[in-house]
This record gives sequence, structure tokens and C-alpha cells, in this order.
Amino acid sequence: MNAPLETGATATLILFVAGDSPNSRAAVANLRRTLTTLGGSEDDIEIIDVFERPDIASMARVLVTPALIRRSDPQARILGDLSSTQQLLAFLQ
Amino acid sequence: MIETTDAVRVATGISGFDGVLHGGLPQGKCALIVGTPGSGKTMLALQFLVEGILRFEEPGMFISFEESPDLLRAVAVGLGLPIDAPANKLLHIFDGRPIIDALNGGAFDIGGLVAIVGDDFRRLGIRRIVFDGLDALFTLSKDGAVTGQEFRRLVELTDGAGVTSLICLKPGLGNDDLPSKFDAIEYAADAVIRLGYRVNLGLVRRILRIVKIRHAGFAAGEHPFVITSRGIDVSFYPAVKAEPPLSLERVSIGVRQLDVMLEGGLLRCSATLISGLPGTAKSTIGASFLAAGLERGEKCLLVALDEPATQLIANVRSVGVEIESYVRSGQLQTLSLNAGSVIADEHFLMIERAFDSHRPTLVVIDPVSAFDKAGGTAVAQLVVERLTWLVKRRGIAAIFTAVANSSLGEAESTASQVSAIADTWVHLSFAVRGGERNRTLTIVKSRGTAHSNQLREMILSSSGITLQDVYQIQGDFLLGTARLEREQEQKREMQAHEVSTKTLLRELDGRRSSALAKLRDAERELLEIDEQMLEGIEETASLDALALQDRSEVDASRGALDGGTLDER
Repeated sequence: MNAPLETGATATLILFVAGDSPNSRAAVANLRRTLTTLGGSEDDIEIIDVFERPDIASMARVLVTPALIRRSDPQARILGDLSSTQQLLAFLQ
Repeated sequence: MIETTDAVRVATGISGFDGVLHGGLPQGKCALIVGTPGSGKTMLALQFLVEGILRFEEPGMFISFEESPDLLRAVAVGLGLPIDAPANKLLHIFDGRPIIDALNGGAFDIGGLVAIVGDDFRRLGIRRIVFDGLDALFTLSKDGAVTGQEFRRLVELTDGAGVTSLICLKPGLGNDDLPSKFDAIEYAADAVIRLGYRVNLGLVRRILRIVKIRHAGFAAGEHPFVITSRGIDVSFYPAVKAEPPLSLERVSIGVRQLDVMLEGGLLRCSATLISGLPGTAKSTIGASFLAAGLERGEKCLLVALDEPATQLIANVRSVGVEIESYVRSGQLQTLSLNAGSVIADEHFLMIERAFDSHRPTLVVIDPVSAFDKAGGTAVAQLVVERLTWLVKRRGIAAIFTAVANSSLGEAESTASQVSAIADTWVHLSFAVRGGERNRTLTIVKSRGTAHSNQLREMILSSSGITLQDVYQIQGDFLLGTARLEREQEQKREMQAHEVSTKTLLRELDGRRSSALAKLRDAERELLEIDEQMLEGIEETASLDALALQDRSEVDASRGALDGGTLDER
């Protein structure tokens, strides 16, 4: 998935969640915590609920949630509740 | 099977499959298709959508977890989806192939898929949906509980929207079972269909089997199917036969004496088996049958399995059966099949398609025993049985030839056991005696016909086939030269008998004439005698009268008394 993701925002990270499912809630919490340890801010994250924006989920081919996509070249993505801090750190750095 | 609560069905439009499904897939329900790679899952699923568009204008969605949308659209076009027409727009293909370099970062669900599909249902009015290779989505998850839970979300989604869905899954490599993490899916699905194949004598036989359809009937068991460029074709053979049209019409077999033996010919909706060793003129009878029909103006189909149809047609010309011109005019269609190249099921479907396109009323399949080479006798037997049924249902009179198994000697049966199925069974044979090999014909059975049970000698000449009565002497049949000799001997005996009778008649005639002459002579003599006697009587009377007169004169001259006369005396 290399096409640029047009979401109307410019945050470097997009976290796709599915409503308030347990996995999604965990992912939001895990991402925020880890980002804070890295000195990042809330502005770096755009959270998209696939049920509110299925068009964006479809465009980004986000079938599995939660999914964190890093807007970069090349795009990168990590799936799941981001429970492994070590893996998440590696992804963000 | 509970039939009373039978679910509403959605016709898949796939030939034969709807028959197996007793009408179609349960409407708005979720059906699982399980099969190894190459078993035809994708084709079946795509065809389900294409037929939905072509037949019912139902928008369809194909979510592909394995193949590219471009490839799928090309296949769909092959299945009949128009390239440019608006109908093409009714097929929506979503590229759901996993992002290769995505990292696995913990527990997940398929919320994205549920959101996207739910949105599509609303926006596009989707009626049919396919999830092809859904297992790809769960490769990251080892947890069966999660898989089952997520799957139920999909089921709820499709159920709620009334969209009929097909979900294709691969079993584990090396066996036919789904990995245990998919157990919950098998339980949750409303229908489970398994596709597989078996290799029979080097030929692939594809098999479709319905494992379950919840609260609904279906044809259980294995159903053979084939995959062609035009899609999947399931060979469906219902448990209950539809009654074939009843016809008492007789169709000439093209051999006059054989027609007589069969009370006028073959019945219109019937299959006739002609069995015999190679060289017993099975094909010739088949061709004669066609020739007679073609002359009447009937459309005919010749399916040639051992030798190509052109060769067969050329061969029968030598015995005065001309059908080549009808091939050129199109009245006779030929289908030359390579027996043994594909499983007999495929040939069956090719023949059925030829029935559909040409609509013949007479059919010859020469020989059906060749199907034995196409996947074994069990497959061949079923194919011949299906052909028999098909022929009757279509109101066709058919001749199936079968090469008798020479390894069993002159056993009057064929490997494929067609004989039990056929309505009429004519067996051809050879009798070798006195340095001659003569052809014989017997009608072994003929349902609904008071057929002749006598053996006949069959003679092939440049003017076709003729049958001759045979002589039986002390339990021995006379054929060929022996029969001719016997015929001539009998003729001579007859002639000799005729001569002696004539002589006797002539003699009697002579004796009668002479007797009659004698009778005439006697009559004449009698007449003469009578005349003479009459003359004599008359003469005597006149003499008496004279004598009386003389006496009176004497008496008067004497003057004597009466007493004096007495004294004198």
C-alpha cells in the first residue's frame, strides 16, 4: 500500500480503531503511553474509527483492526493492540 | 432432514449445483466452501456472483484475499460477464490481500473488514458476497476462540443485511480437514460445501459434496464436476427420476427385419444397447439407425469414442450406409471424443452440451464401453446410467454400442453393465464353423416389446444389413454356407415332391376319364336294352290280339255249345 493516504489531516501516525472494541482501546492506550516516553505529542496521532470512515479504511485496505500506519516513504504498518512496547518502540523510531 | 422449515433459496445459476442444493443456497445465509488449492473454490464463488448479475442483476462483491482484482475480473469476463456493459459495474472486487510487510503487534479483530463490507452493503446494494481465502486473514492468529468470534461477526453482518455469502477456506496441507482453529467457523456456517478431487487411473475426478445445510434439504453424497473455461459444471443425478415423456412411437432401426423382430422398431424415449466383440458390425447398425432417421428428416448426433466419426462414417459407406452428406448439411452432428483423455464425467457434460445445442432426436454413442478407459468402471457405469436417463428425458431414441469383454469369452455382458440399464439389448456374435465366421444377432431383451427371441444370421452387403432365419437341426444352428446348402436341399426336396404329386394327379385324371367313358357306354347300352325291351312288349301284345280273333272264328264255324267245349277238354 504505497498510495498516499488522504485523510484531511497531516499527523505522521494514523491509528485505525473499530469503535471501542477492547483491542482498539488497548491500542490507543498503548500508543499514547509509548509516544509519551518518546517525547511525542497528541498531534502526531490521527485516530480513525473504521465504522465512521469505512471509505478511508477501504482505501487504506485496513481489514484488521486496530492497525497503526506510519505516513512515510515507504508506508509502514503494525497490526494489533500494540501490547509489545518493545516492538512498538522499534516501529516508531 | 427437516423439510418443513426449508430455507428460502438463492439460485446460484451454476449448472447442476442448484439441483444438488435443492434449488440454491439459503438466502441471506453464510455458506462455507472448503477445498484444497486448485479445487475450484475461487471459480465456483466467482461464478456465483457473475450468474447473480447476469440472471438477477444482483450486485455482487468479491473480497479477494489471494488473487489480484485484475485477474479475477478477467476470469469473470470468461464466465460471461460483459466487458463494457453496465452489468460489469455490478461486480465489485475488493483487494483484501494482506499487506506483506505488516507487523504483528498483538491481539486484533476484523473490525476493518466488517466496517468496509457493511458500508458496501448500504452503498452498493450488494446481494451476494464472497470472501475468498478468508483464512489468510487469520494466519496471524493462533487463537481459535478469536477466529470463531470474529467469524460470527461476519455471519451477523451478512445475516442482518440479508446478503447471501460464500466464504472460501483452505484445509490444512496434506489433509482435507480445516485447521482446528476453524472448527468454530464450520459450526457457525449455515452451509458447508467441500470441493476436492481424486485421481482415478491417472485422470482427475473432481468431487463436490454438501456437508450440511442448516434446516434444509440437499442431495447428499459426492457429485462429480468439471471446470472449463466457462466455469463449473456439476453433474447432478437426482435420487428421484423425473418421469420421461411417455411415447409409444416406434423408430425404425434401419434394418427392416430387425424392425419386424422389435414390433416396428425402437421406442422413441429409450436407450438400446448393441453389444458384441470387435467386428460384429455394431457401428454399422448404429449408422443404419442414423441413416433411416436422417432420411426421415430427424436431427441426429453421433458420438464417436474409439475411432473418429469421419472414419466411422467412411467405413459404413462400404456396406451401403451413406450419412456423410448429412454431416455437411448439418443435420447430423458428430462429436469425436478421446476416451481416456479426461474423466468420463467431462465427456458426459460435453455430450449433454451437444444435446443442448444441436437438439438431436436420435443419438448413437459408439461405443459407451470406451468410458471404462476414462476413470474406471465405477465412473463409466454411472456416466452411462446418466446418459440413459438424459436420453429418455429429452425424448431421444438412442443406440449405445458396447464392445463385449473378450477376456470373458463370449460372455454377453459389458464391463460397464449397460445391459441392465438399457431398454433393449441386441447382442451380436460370431459363429465359426466349417471354415466360416458368420455374424449372428439376438435380441436379449426389449422392455415393453413382444420381441422375437430367435437367433438370426446377419449379412452385410454393399446394400446394407439383412437378417436371415437360421436353421436349427438337432440343437445346432446352421449359418452361412451350411444354411445355404440346407436351403437348397430343402428346395430340391420340395421340387421332387411337386413332381410326384403332379404325376399322381395326371394318372388319376386319366383313370377318371376312362371311368367316365365306361359310364357313358353303359348308359348308352342300358338305353338300347330299354328300347329293345319296349319293342318286344308291343309286338307280343299285337300277336295275342290276332290269336284271340282266330279262336273266335273257329268256334263260330263249329257252332258248338259251351258244354261241348268242356267235354272236349
